[in-house]
Amino acid sequence: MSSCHEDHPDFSSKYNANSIEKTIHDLCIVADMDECVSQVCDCSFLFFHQNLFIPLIKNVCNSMRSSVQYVMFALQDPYYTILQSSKYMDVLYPMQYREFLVHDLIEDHLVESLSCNIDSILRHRVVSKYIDELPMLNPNQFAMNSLTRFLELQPFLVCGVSIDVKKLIELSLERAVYNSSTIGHQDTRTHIEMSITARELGINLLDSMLPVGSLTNVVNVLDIANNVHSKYRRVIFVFLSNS
Amino acid sequence: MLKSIEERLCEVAESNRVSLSNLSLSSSRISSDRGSVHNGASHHLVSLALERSHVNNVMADPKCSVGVTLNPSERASVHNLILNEKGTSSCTLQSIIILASVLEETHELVHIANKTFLPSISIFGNDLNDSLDVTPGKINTSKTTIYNDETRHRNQWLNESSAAQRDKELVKRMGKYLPELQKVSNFCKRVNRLIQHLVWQSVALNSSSLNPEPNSQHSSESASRNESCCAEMLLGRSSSVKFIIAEALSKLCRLLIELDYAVENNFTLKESWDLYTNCIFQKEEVSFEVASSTLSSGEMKGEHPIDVISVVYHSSPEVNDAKVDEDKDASEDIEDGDSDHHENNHQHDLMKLERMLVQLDNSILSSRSFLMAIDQSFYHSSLVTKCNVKRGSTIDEIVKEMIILLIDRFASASSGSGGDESQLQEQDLIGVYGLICLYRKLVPTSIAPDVKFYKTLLSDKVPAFIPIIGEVPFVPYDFLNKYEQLNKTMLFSSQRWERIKKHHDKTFEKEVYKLRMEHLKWFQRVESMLSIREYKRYMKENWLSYPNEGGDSDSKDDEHLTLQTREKISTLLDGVKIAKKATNLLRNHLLSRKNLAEPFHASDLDNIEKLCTIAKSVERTFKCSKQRAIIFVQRAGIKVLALELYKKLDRLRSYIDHRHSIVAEEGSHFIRRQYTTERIAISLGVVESLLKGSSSFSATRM
Repeated sequence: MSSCHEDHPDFSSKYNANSIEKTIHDLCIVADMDECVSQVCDCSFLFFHQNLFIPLIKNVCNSMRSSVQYVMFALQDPYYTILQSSKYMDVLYPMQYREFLVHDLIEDHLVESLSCNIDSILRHRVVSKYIDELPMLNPNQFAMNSLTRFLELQPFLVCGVSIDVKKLIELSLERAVYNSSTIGHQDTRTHIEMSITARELGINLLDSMLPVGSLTNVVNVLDIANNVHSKYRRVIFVFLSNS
Repeated sequence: MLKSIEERLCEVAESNRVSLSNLSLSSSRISSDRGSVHNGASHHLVSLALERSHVNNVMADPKCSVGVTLNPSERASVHNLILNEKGTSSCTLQSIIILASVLEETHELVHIANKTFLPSISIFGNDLNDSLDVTPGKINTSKTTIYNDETRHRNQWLNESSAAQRDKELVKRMGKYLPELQKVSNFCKRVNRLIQHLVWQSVALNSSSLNPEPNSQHSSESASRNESCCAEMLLGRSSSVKFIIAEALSKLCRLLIELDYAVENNFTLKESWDLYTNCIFQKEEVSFEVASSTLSSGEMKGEHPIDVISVVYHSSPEVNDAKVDEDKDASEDIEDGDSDHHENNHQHDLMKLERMLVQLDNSILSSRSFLMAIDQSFYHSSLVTKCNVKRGSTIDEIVKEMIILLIDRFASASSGSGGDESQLQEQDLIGVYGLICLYRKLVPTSIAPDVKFYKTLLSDKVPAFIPIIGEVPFVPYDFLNKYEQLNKTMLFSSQRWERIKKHHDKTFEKEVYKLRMEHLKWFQRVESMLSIREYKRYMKENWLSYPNEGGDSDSKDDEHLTLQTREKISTLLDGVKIAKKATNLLRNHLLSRKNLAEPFHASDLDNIEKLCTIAKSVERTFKCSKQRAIIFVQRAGIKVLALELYKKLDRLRSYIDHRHSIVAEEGSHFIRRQYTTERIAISLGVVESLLKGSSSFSATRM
């Protein structure tokens, strides 16, 4: 093309050659878009920066940004590289990596941290009703607004495991509430109020370990044990009156 | 014409949608289906094409893909397309076919290396070093400094029993990995041959143009010879051809350099290799001693001195299965006392294994793959005699020319003056530096290196370090020093590199902010452009109910459609660029932090999070949220771009026909013009044939 200058400068100009080259380049990318996007967005190099994972997830929690799913997508990229080379590795290593992402990062760090935050907020809201010195939370400056971003996250897949952040948080809160109300039965009322307040915020705390599924609808054994004398007296009275 | 294209596209889109939904329902069957399809392919290029264009889709998974799915009957190799179209095989056409096949092989080799062994080499044994156990407390989360790998991976193996267990495991792994290393070794030989072949091809193409014989072209006697030299004359003068060959050469050099770096920086691999070879050599010594003792005393007592040896035999299934069995038999026979024949076999097998290990040790495991590639002989007797080229002067000039071409292209890409058409990235510079080493090997040692040339190579625009596989920094200064032993005054000093790194740290935050803004704008554009309503309207108006009337309305609609599709394509390409920038920036930053051993601050983590979000949200948009619309736009884009190209070439074709008639009138006096016209005509024919495609598939007819 370079020697056609004399008669038709239109074809010999660099612009024209470049435009043809650019079209071919675009065509290559568009035709092979799948491979191109995978290659360009691949973050499998994070495999060599694994010590960064936990600080990164903690930072996501602290900053209250709901970009956790994208961060997890980036962190799961090495999993596919590991799977490719699993033949020359420990058989359990891909599984370990998956467990590390799902349990260590998401459940132990992300969900635990979020549920702790939510728990403290709920407790504050409940307790502030009874203690005058404790200031009421301003709904506009309420940290729950940031936390609801996490609760509104759609379920996403990490290494083939479906992660529903809201459900995990609910499960964690249920466990915490149930455990603490079992140990300290004097706090039962507070916990019930907390679960009711949580429902206002869109968190349904259903305890699967209780027969009816909720603390509000069950027979409280501890309460019965505490008031057994009065109940016993009433039963005796009824029995005697009938006899 | 467009109507039929649209109808066809709609059908394909619909069938693709159905197939995608089927695929998403039965994602588990994908791998087996892929395997069966690939096995059914007759030609390796066909199987490669199958592999590349396969749609691996799971709707909710970000790893699902967007691709053009072709039926097996719609595929054809490049060679067939070129040959089928022309029918005859002229000299130039043959050269084009050779170049096409060589470049295709380069592409295939790069694909194989990146998909198979490079990742496995870089992460070999990492599971033994990393404490990824899920038991709490194993991962120390309270570290102030994040990178302390060396101490971390040693702590796990402090006590002796666990160290012995680890050694056993390493030896076992290496035994399993040995066949892969053999494949890598064969791969390197293939790459070396291809590099040699590419250099020969470029010399052959350039030699005639460097030493033309104008007088001989007038005689009728030399017409046939001229015809045979036609290809060299015509293709060799094109800078585009030179650039393509240079790019292929740099890709191959980059592969070998990456392999060397991956091996050199994987200490576990080296340790494992040392243990394995020690075991084998000790085993040979033991067997030699046993043989000598049985010869002298007639009986053998004792056991193998090292328990690890037994692990070696259980761990190398493919390489020495037969050898292992024979070895075991031999040892039993030795114990029985009658073992001369088996013993000889055993010795022979061990020697063969040892020889192979030594070969691997001297090539791949000592990180000398690239050195072996540039140390091979690039002089071919037929080239020298045929083209009257002075020995030793031409090849290095050609390689130098290639380097300058690549560097110029990179400079224009980095400055932005070259526009979007430049495909060179930072990583491609690794191959360019490989070519520089090749050039230095080709230049006679008596000639002093060109200082000016080197200074242009290591200008400020060149990055201080480039991330390479295994997250190792490729430092141009160190690399050239290693392979060339250059004078330090010629290159920039290491202090300057430090300054560049500091500059990178300062600009990082600004770049992230800028990229985030770009990403938000792009996301907004995509949301408006590829919304469901827009997508439905686009389908309804432009593709499904396309008017039947021809004439002006057709052409107007065509233009409108083309413009609309072009706009959508450019938006998609912008997304790809943004994602590429984000991953490159993230990788560079992490690597610089790791090598400077600096802790991460909260702002760093924020920026890393943002970059991850940018890259993955782009991927998510392409592969999940806007997948259907993007598949549609992609197919339309292929057609529009191919048509656009075809139209441009159509104008060129008419011009070339006009030139042909002029040159025919002028006669053979202007032979060079004739050659040029012919070159363009043939190249054009090839491109057109590729665009037209085979009888069953075509980009323009799709």
